Amino acid sequence: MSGGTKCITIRMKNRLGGLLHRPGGIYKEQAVAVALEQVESLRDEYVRAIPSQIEALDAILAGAGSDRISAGRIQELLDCAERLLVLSGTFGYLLLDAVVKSFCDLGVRMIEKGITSVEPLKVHLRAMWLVCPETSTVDDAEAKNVLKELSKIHAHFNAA
Amino acid sequence: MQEKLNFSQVAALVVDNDSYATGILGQILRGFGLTRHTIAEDGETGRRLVQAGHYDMVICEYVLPDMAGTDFVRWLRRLPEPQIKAVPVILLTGYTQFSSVAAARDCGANIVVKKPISPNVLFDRIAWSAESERPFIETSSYVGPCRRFKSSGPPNGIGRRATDLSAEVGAAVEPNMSQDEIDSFIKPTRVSIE
Repeated sequence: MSGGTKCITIRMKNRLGGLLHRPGGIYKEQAVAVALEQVESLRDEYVRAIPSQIEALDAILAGAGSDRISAGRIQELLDCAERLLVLSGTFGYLLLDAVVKSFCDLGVRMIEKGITSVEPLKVHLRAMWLVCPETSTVDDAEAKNVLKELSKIHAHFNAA
Repeated sequence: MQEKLNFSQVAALVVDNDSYATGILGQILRGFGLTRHTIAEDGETGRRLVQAGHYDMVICEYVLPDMAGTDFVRWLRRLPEPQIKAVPVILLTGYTQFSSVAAARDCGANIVVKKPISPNVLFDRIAWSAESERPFIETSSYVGPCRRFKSSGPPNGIGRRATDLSAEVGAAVEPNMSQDEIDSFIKPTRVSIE
């Protein structure tokens, strides 16, 4: 090498590997099964928290003003929505998961494009309430329609 | 034949302020038999804990309330103590656009795992971190596990969420990456540079 960038390569013992390969332990299938059981034990408490997380999004949006929303406030919504994604994804609420992802994709796009209209976000929040596991009354066909309508909002902003 | 892994002596630090995510992660780790895990709710607390204690693994969220998870990892990788700075780091992210995954790789994280975490995926990634003898690289612009040594990388085909970025809600400008795509991007693919 002709000088310039210095690169040091260090070979270190893999301490984590040493610990994990000590005698005893658990097979993967068993570990995953126990972990899933452990996670399942949280279901009731965490699913009950989903409406309060949507309310938190509502509160952030309500504080944004009636017509326009700043990029900072959208970011706040995205951070809050990530908690909702963890809950919907972990406990298998696929429809809510799809709506929240749509909300997040829209939020990211609004920040990127400097879009400040609050309406598309409001529509997504109404959709979240429609598919919220604790309160949902929509059937499969209605759910498809909800997602279809949300995709129109996305298409609109793609075209903008 | 598949081997057993013993998590009983492993101490993990989890840096994440989402109480639901840490609750779920805690249950998963307990299911694996890992009972010694500490939670830091922000990057600054994480820094204090790293310097005060000893951890065999760090699991860090991409977005922290007071700093970026990538900045936390970058700071960790530049500590003077060799055993601390080389600790395996798993970066968790809900944002899996290419740019986010690239940033995670370039900050020095060993593995990037997509949220919500699946026990299956987490077990495989931890097992993979434990198997590999990856050299540690220090340059002016990058400190972390070598990205160019021969390895088959984490296992493929596990943990992909079929619902990710569903077609019904329209395509994003920069699509989210699946766990498989993240793995193939992160995994080292070239033979040793020595």
